[in-house]
Amino acid sequence: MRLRVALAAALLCVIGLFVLEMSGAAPRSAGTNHVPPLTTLLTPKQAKVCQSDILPAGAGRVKLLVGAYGHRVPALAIGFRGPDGKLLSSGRLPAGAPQGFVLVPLRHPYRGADTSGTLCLSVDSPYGIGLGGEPIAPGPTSAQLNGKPEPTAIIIDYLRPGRETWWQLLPTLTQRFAYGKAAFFGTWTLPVAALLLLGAWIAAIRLLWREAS
Amino acid sequence: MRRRIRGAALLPKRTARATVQTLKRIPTAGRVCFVIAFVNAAIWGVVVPPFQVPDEVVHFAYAQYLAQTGKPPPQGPGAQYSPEEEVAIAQLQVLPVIGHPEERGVLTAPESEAVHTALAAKPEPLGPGGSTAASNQPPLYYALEAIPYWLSPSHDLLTRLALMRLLSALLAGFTVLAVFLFMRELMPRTRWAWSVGALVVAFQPTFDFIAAGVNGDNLLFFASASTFLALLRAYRHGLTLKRGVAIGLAVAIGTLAKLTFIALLPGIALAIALLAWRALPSGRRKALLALGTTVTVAALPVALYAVLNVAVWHRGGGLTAGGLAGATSSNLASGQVVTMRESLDYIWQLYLPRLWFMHHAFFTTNQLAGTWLDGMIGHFGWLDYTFPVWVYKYAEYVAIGFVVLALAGLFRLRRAIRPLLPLSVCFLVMAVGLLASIGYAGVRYQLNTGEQFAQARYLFPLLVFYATFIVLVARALPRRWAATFGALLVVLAMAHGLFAETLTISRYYG
Repeated sequence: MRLRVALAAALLCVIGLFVLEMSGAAPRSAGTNHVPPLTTLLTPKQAKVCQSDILPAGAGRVKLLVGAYGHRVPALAIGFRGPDGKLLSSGRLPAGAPQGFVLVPLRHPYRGADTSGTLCLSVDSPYGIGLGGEPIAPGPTSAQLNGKPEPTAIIIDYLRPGRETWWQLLPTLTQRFAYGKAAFFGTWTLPVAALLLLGAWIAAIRLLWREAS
Repeated sequence: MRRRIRGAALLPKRTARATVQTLKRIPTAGRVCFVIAFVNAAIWGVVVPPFQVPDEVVHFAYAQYLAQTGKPPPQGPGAQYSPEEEVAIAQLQVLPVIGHPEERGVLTAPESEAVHTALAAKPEPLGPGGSTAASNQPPLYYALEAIPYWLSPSHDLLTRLALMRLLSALLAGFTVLAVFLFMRELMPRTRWAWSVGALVVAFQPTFDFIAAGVNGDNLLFFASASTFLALLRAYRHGLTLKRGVAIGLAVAIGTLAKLTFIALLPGIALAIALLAWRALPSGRRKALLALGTTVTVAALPVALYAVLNVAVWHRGGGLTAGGLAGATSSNLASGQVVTMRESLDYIWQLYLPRLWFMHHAFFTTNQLAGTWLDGMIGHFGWLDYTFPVWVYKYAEYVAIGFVVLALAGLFRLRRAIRPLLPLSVCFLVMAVGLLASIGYAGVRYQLNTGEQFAQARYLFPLLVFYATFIVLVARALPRRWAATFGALLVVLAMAHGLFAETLTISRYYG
């Protein structure tokens, strides 16, 4: 009896903490181009910086590393076009954000599937800015400044809109769980892993119950 | 002659029957612990993305080279990875993710398709076997990993890696089973302690993180736990031919698994001598025969490996293939000599606070908490993400409480433990050997690279003591409460494992 009560109480505590943890809301990533902050691409006062990228499903904000050199970050406009040139999403950041990582909200969260295309950033300011990125050979994957390939790839991260709990993110997690793994993994993997873990827990509790009572 | 041939033909059948009989003798609880540990480690193997287990890239490279060529890598100056692995590492964004907890790996369908497309182009799976952090190690673990590598229904690297990870999970299951049997030998009358000891190891997240990937440590942990078990069993029931073979096998597997095991050998030798001495009253000849068998079974495969290393594979360095020399050399890459005093200072400070007469200060923080305890709580990935700071802070208080309780438990069990004192001294020598070897290699690594060497997993050859420690904590309470407290400690371990998994999912997929 003592063991049963103790185990039940402990399990309730764990379940409570788990629910609490899963219910914590925070900004969640939608995707990234994996570029580290190693260098800066300096732009003139009027500039259009384009770079090929993947617009991930569910993107609501674009995160860029911007240096304004003593000023506030000027107004930034971005547009993402698909391979056929069609505008898939766009957004605008009003002037006045402090320099550093800035979030450019998209007009509407992108509801389509992950799509390859080109992101273009328009800057129209009384001073040039710097965009954080990494040095790479100028070419089709590097940033294009006013149409000219630059020896830099800029950081482009995507965040989902607002703040989400892990419960809300679960459908996305089940998809992501299969990516970059053996082909036989799929959206079934996370639910099955969770069920197996549950099975292991039940087996462990039953064993403890049997051995300790 | 005919009878002999028939006998030889029946050997596999007899061996299989003996194996089944042995498995049947394992209590159901032990088998359940094995399955739980295997399933849990296999889940971790799915949770952690490819090549995000520490050093998995180099361990996979070794296993792939061995699977492709039938021999260990030559450790030349060439490329470390095969072109196929290079493609996988690049496409999976392994390097941008390592050390950058804010970075994610493959998060979108086009990135995932790019990985599969690049690997479908069938880049060469054989590289030149260039020198890595693992290529100086003995080949047993990697030879075992060659089995799932070739059994894989697909030649795709990611499918092979997934199956190879399952072997590591299986080894984790066997490690936990060995811990279970060790606890049974240690406390034969306390049934609950067997499962409690085994399950706290099965749900230990740092242990599971290593078991999630292709890493030679997994065989080392199994061999170490088996060695402690075999020695304790022979101490309890006497050294016989069969038990000598078991000890010898465990030692041979350990020595051929990872060079770290060599650190345990002085203590093991002492224990074997003790066992032989205790066996003398039952017949000098029998005792010597058992001793000889133990040593022969342990030494023969190792000697064979040393000969193959030098004469067939031309790797040089006999058993160690240059690895041990690299880790223990007095000279650093710069030519500076590491003095014995420096080494001793470092070894001490790696575990205990610096004393007033120690000239060298190697650490700015307390390593007992910062490296060992915090590492046990969880420094995951390539040591690049952790729980929130407050978890470690409170864990320190819990650990202090546990130490006090374990000492009380030890005091409570003093009568039962007294007969084990001679063997405990041998175990202590094994443990000190391991701790000293970590420090000895660590001071050289730190002076060479400026980076810290030690990780909590380096202590996992002593997992049986971790299980014993937790059971002693439970035994501090009066008998009628001890089992319940033990069960609660397992639930705590399970919760620890669960939150480490959710942390890992948020790190790589969130």
